[in-house]
Amino acid sequence: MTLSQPQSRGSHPSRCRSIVLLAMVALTVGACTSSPDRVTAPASPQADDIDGLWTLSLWLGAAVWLVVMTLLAIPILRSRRGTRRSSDANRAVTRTGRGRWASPAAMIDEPVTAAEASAQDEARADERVRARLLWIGGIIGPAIILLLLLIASGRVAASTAHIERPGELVIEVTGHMFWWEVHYPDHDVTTANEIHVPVDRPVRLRLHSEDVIHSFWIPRMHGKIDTIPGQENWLSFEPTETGTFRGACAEFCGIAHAQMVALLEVQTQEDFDAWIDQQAADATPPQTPTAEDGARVFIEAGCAACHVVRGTEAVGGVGPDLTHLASRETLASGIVPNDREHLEELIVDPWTVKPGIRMPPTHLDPDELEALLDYLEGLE
Amino acid sequence: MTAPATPPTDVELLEHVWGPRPGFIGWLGQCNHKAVGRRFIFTAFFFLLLGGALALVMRTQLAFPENDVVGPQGFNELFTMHGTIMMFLFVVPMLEGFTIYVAPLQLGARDMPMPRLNAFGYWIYLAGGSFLLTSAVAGAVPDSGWFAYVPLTRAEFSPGLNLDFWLLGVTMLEISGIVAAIEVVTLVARFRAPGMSLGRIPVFVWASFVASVMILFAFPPLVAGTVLLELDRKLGTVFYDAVAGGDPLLWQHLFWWFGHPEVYIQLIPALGMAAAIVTTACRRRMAGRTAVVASLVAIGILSFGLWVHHMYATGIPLLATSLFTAASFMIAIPSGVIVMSFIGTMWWGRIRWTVSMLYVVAFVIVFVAGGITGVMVAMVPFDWQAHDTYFVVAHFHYVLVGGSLFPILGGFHHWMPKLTGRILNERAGRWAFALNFAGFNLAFFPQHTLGLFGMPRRVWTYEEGLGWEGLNLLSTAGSYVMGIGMLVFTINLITAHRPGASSADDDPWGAESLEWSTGSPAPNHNFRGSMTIASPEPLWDGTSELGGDAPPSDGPGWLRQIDRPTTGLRQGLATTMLDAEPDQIVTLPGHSLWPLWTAVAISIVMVGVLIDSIGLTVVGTGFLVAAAATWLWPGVE
Repeated sequence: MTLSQPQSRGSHPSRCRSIVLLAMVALTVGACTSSPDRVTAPASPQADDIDGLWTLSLWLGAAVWLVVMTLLAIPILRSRRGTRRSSDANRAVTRTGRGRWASPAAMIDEPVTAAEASAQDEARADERVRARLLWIGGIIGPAIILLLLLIASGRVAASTAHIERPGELVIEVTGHMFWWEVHYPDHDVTTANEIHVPVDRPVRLRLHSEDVIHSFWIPRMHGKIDTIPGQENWLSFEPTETGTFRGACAEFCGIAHAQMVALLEVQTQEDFDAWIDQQAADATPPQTPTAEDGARVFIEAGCAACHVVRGTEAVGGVGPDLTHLASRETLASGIVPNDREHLEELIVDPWTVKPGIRMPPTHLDPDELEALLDYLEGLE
Repeated sequence: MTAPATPPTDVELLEHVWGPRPGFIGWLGQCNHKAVGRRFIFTAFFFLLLGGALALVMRTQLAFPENDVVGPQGFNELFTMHGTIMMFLFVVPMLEGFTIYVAPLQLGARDMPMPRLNAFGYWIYLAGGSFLLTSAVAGAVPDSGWFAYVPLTRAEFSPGLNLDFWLLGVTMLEISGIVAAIEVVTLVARFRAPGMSLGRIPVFVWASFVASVMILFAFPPLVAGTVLLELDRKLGTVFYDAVAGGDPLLWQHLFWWFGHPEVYIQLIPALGMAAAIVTTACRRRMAGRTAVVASLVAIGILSFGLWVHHMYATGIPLLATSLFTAASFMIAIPSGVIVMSFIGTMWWGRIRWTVSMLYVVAFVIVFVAGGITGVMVAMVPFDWQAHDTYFVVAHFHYVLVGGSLFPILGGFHHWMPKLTGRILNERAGRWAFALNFAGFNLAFFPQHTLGLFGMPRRVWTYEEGLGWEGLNLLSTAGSYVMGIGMLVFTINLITAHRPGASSADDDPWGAESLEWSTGSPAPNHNFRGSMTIASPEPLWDGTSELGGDAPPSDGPGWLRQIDRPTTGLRQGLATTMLDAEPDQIVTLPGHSLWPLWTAVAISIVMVGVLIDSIGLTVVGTGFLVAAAATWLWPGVE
């Protein structure tokens, strides 16, 4: 067996590399897609600081990876081209086991101490290279980068900490299977899933859970914090952009975990004031005769056992507060638009909208259903 | 026996004494480390394929928005079982299997120190695995994720048997892990060939030793955690019930006190496998071998100080979590040393491109990337964003596939001659490697971006228009490519073992460690004759004595006794802990069915607890006491 064998076998990594290259192209194409609610499009100073930390660690990490890959490529390329000058001199046949076949056995190198005298110098030079690899590449280099990142991480942690700020708006958010209860203690307003906040004002969420652990997360505002039964957690951020920001439950909380969306509506101060005043009022009384029927159906069909409509007999505290249902954009925790069709589906067959939802199906005559829908659509 | 023509070692007698009993019962009752190790390896391989198949179904579901291949319940069961199978039924048992098979051979021992306990470890693993799979037949597949957070897993929110299957099954698997760890620690301490002082122990064995010590400290807290949860579920205790004064976070602390070391328990022996491969393929002593061993020990110790980095989002105060950032960063230093040692070894040697070496290169490429994202998620503020998203999914698959699966697949190619006497086809192996490597990166690299795009993990569906469609499709395509790669690998494994396939040589790779000095597959007694180990690479140093056909007069009396077992006893040599001087002759048990019965008895107890049957539990406990007593009774097989 000659030395050419391993070299000819070495042609394989190039095929490998072309596959890797193809994959990289595919990834680049993939990376060109974008998402509206990504971590890297911050809309608050907190998310912006974290994005900065991410960018720093991405560049440092990419540099480290490239350096390591270069270090890895050098011996691979050298070994493939067979350009090591004295590799033959450095090689000696060693003691063999039983039944060894010829090819590799003839190529085994001795450890450095046993290298031939003529190759000792090169062996020592190699030893120095390896020592440098270990010390600089394995210990000193990483230590410097890690210290940099530790300082950066500590600074960002301090600037994004969930501390009290002057003039902040406190909102209580409670995780339920599988929706978010939102309560404004200063205004005595309760709503669900859609959190309205004014722009450029610090917001602090008091997070709590009524059942299992959830995790509240609006990527463009701040990181996630768990809602844990028996414990209160805080999440503070200061939105600097108006608009709707999507978030979701991030901790697996049961069957409908995937469909537990939270929406943050950042409004100008005037819009927010108008909204909160409107939400603070009791429910609009039914305006039409059918809506009045609907209000009766709401009580009789059992809806009121779970839902609150302030100003009426409906005081059930299990499901979302429906006092101003019609003013919301979405239904079933942010997964479908709030229109008549989806509302009907949600009442009649909630599991098609959201498998695992805790709301039971309600069997109603067509007339009753239409009346109920009229009533609910009137709850502005 | 007195005749001068007596061969120096009576090979047939040795083989007979160390061999299995005839027949099916004999096969079943084998306790020898080679039988047990092979059973572990091939059972774990089955679970690898099963866990991978579940992953493919999950990726199919996520290929398109609002897809409906499996519903939410099915998806939750899939990711729970995928995680559980890969963590508890594939990686750890697979590495235990390789350790049990290869480590005694690398140390020059004849068997594990407690062969019956070893066999028990396998049976309880098989029982635990079957127990978990039975949940599919019972229609109560665990569905709360592999870390089973309370209160979701308390009886209030998971009333079915799903979580009972999980808790009891995992407890059985933990017993298996602890048992194997006790074995390995004893093996490495006392069962080395003469002359194999601590500094000459192969890196793979060092790695297995470190992982075993870690298991002894990491697994008992999880057993405690699962027992407490099972008490909450079955007897109505309130350890984790916030309303009654318990604490849901207690579970997370107990779980991650196990769970974080667990990922290093899965990594470290695989690093050892990669080290064995790279040494062989580069024909060089591992660069900085001592530094590598020290780094393995350092990782083993540091890994117990990191568990809170899974809990940054639980509201633990910032100062405390920041300390865990620093602790997590520290792991990067020994990991860096190890990676540089691999590169340094290649730098100095002349690489021979076996398939196993390709997997080692893939390991370096992928593991370094996973380590870098690991540093990222160790930073508290960034982890608030990345935690529980696909970024983390990508991160730990880079670490575990790069750090564990690739070395394991390389290990299959490397050690298959020693395991079964067959050699895997290198050409098919290259194809499988290329598909696995490309498919893996295609499947998991886009998931980093998905995480930053706001996709939480463990979601069974996602809406259109979130910008997640393209990357999810790409990821699914990649997973299929990897699936094909694993299929090619499996076919290669099967065809290599078809009747009439060529058998492997004793030392096909020209490797350095002791297992290659004996036959392929290893004979029943592993080694015979006088052995003296002079360096970490006994096959290369030219001075180590590797046993073999030395005349009897050459060996001391004890050697003649253990090499010619006229009493019919399996005898091996125990050596001193530091310098491996011959110390005493140890008589090891052979055939026994009692470990199997003990495992069966434990299974009966578990089934009794599962179905709330006090009668069955009592019967099982009685059977367990009887089986254990008979097992330990002197003179009973």
